[in-house]
Amino acid sequence: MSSVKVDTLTGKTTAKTVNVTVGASVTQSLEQGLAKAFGSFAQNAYPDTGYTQDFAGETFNFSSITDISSGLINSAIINNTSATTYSAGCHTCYFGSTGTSNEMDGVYAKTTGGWKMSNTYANGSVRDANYTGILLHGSLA
Amino acid sequence: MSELRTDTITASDGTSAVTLTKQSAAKHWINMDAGQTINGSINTSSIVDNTTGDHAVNLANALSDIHYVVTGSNIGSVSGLDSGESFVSSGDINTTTKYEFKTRHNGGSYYDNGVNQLHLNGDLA
Repeated sequence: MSSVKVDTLTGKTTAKTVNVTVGASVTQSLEQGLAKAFGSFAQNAYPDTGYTQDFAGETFNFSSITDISSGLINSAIINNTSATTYSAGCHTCYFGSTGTSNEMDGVYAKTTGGWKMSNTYANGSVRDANYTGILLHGSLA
Repeated sequence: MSELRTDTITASDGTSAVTLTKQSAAKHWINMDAGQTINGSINTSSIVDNTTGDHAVNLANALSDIHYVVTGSNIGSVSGLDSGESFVSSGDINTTTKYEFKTRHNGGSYYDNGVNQLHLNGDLA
């Protein structure tokens, strides 16, 4: 086992491209595999988790995550993406008397500086969720 | 402050995967529309439209097992409804080189939504 201790890795040919071995022989750009933003947000309080209403938990590269109306969240990132063809995923959790329901969200109105997302309950209605996890993959500008 | 400039990093034996301390890089992500156009991705060989709201993604490099994690969201394709459509991930036909997923309308029926965005984490073979 050997290790290299360094503070910054930079591609020799292209600054952002450092390829790493990720399988038996497959190499992949490290930059392409790393999430460029992640965060968690609660529009409604989530009991026993520490999430209060409109609370943002741990975040990375987000300047803001905002409750803009029922079931709708707006996000803004600090470092913009290079295009709007990035992949933004989020996942919603509803907590209630009948148990916890996990529903995937809609992501829309994407720009290189952020996007909006909607939380959809199991019956199809758009409503505030108790937890939304957010993840972005793609390239930064 | 030190800086290492290089194009490729491989484990010390010359072949094994590099360990990223306390973190894992995604092995695949994709932004694709319902018309089966890939807008951006890594590690994708092709996409398949099985039927309405039912899609498959074939991977260029295989995973080491089928217990990887796929997450995703979508953008609706109907004006006024783009805030209410949902995504259903299906693990029933996942293999080391392919995963499938379903999307549905906010009314509950399976539906081809505008843009699908998925991420995969796990180990490559």
